[in-house]
Amino acid sequence: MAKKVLVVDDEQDIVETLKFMIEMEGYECHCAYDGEQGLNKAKELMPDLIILDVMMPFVNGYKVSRMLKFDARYKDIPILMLTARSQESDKELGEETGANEYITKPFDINYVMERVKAYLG
Amino acid sequence: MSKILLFTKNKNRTGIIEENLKTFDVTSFGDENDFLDFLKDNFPDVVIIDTVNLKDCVNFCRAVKFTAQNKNISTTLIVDKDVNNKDLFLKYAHFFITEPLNKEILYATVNSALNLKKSLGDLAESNAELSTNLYRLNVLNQTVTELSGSLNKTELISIMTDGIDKSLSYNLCYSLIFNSPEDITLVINSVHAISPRLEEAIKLRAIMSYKNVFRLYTSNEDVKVVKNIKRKEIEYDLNVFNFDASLQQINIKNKFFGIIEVFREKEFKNDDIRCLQTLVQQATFPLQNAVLYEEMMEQNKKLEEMEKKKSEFFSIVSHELRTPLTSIQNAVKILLSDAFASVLPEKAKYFIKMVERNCIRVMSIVQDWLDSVKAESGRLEYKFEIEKINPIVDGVIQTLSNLAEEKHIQLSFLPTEKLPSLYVDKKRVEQVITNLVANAVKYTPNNGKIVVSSKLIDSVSMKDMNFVTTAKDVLLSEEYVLVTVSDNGPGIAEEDIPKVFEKFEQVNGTLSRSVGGTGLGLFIAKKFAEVHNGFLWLDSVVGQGSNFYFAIPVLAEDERYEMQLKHDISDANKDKKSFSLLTFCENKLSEEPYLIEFIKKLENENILKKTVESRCFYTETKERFYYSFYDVNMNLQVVHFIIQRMLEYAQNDKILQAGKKIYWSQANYPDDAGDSEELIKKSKKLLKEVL
Repeated sequence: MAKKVLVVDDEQDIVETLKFMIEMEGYECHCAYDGEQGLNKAKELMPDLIILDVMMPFVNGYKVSRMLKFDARYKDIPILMLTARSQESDKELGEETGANEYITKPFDINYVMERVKAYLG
Repeated sequence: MSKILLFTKNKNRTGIIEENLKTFDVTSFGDENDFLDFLKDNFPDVVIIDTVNLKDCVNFCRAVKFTAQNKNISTTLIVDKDVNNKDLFLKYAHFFITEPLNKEILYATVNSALNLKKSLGDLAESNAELSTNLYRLNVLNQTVTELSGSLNKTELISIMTDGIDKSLSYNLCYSLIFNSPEDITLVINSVHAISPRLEEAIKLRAIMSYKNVFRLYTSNEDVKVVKNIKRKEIEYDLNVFNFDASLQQINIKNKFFGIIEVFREKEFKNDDIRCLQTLVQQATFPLQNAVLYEEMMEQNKKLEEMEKKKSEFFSIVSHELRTPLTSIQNAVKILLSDAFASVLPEKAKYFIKMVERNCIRVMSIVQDWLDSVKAESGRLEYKFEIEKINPIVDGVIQTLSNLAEEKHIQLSFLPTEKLPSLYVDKKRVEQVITNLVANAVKYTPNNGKIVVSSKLIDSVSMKDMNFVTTAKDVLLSEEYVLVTVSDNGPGIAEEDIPKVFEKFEQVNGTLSRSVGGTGLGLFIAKKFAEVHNGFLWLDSVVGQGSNFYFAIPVLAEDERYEMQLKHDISDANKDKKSFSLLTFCENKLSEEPYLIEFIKKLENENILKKTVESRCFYTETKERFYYSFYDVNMNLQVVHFIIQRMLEYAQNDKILQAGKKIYWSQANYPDDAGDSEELIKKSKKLLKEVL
């Protein structure tokens, strides 16, 4: 069975591009467009990797990450966090939310794919 | 009529003298006490004492002199023909006449005495005047000194008014200070309180005078009143206007500034007016400076605001541009990926590549904007790591080879192998080299040649190179890794070389338009070089080409550590953050430092984060190993926890019983020290034994 990736970002362009590339690699890709939706889908799908944007309306990426990482059922799902470069100090905040890795936006799609492959093998 | 006071025991003589001095008002006494009593309460012009037959004449003369002193009286003595202590008499008198009494001599002597008195009087008067002037000069001097020490208008006015008070002792003085039609201040200094009626009247008078002087309209509601009253018991009313008054205008650079009017019960003399004018004049220059200073500060504030707005604008624009640009770039990458390789016709790929190329170009411009704005406001963040230079240069050349190929430029890299590692922010160094090479590609004509090389260079040979820095006494490191970018382009004229690294500067405007670019690349590159304690400079020959040099210092471990600490302190300062520098120290029992093991344990336990790695530092002396580290996010709780763990660990392993001594200290920025050097020093000073 193909491995599942969940992409959570409110920017449709980013989600679409990532989805295309992820599916190209033969993984199963699910999308969510805000934090709440992302959280629900994560719990429902139990994906093998989550790509999570920080800046989202209502429930931001930090909250999503924290809620998953502090729940024994989901804490092992690796999280790739997408942050804006200007908010470098946010990184520190992110570390306490337990995300596994940080990629600054704007990102190179090829680099993100490299990381995705590294997690999913 | 001049008054003469005569003392004689000889009644006969009284008559003779009175007869001879008919033109004067003569009062005679025969009794010593009566004479002295009279002298005490009166002011005769001349005193004549007949000492013939006077017992104890020395004491009497002394008493007379004592009483007459400060009264400016000439004393004339009549003495016996044969008295031989004339000197003694001279001590107590201005003149003496001997027996027998000669009418002419008596008359002439009295006249001389009167003349002397008059001269003395004049002298005293001019003396008094002199001392007044001297005092005023002192006041003036002091006032001028005080004036030069202030750039505050109100303070200057009060210093001036104070000086006027000291030298003229006015009863009341007001000054009207005009800042703008909306901002007018009336300062009233008064010895006594002033009635509301008077205040209103002064206000009116000040505005009227002001209008007369400067022909400028103001309504009296706009005037702010400040009162300084010395004594509150008595109140002045409109009677103040009966005092003598003098009005002066304060002109600053021919612009109206204000007026000052001084009221004094005692009439003003010419000197007083001159003194007042001088004081006002002396205040003019400092006031002028104060006004200019105020204007400057205001301009500065405006400029700062504009600069801030500009920065904000740039970063918003940059961010807004970058996000969609990235989407375009990623989409292009997908189109050019294997997925579409067989589907897209070659022609389509050609145009997609064109999109990609231009995307990169716009992206680099946006990046330049963002970096230059950040570099200027000091808000750039750096991540220093140990890196090798050659792979970085290699990467840059790979990226830019397409660009060079388009112009058929031969771009090559001549690396020196086994160069020492550098402590740098890889991305920034990459950017510097990218900017240098891209710049060379931009200016080198088609079919040109660009050579990039890397080598190790010591500071002595670097000084010999044509290298220019704005700092005069740069502390050079021993060794540098030097990256040189040489081209055979048009070259840069000598007078244009300093301009190259300026913002928005492109030498030769016409050429620049054909090559494009933001004019920020080299400006940013220079900033980045400086951040690494490195240098960026060039030499060039017109018509032959240019060499750009980028030197990065090779740092020892402690130098790296200090550089990192310096950066972190400057960041912490910007964010108003504080952090602690922890130092552990152990006495040497073996060659193996025990502390390293401890730190590793902490890292394994996830107590120390990865970020600490670049922020830790070992040193050793003859007797001790030191291990210092800090984390800009380490709070007190963590610090205490680390100390606690240290203690537990040391006890469990019984290393303390083995004679090992462990010390620790915690130095806090900014409470304990304000800069990196001091913080490190302080941390060693504060060392105390664990347990």
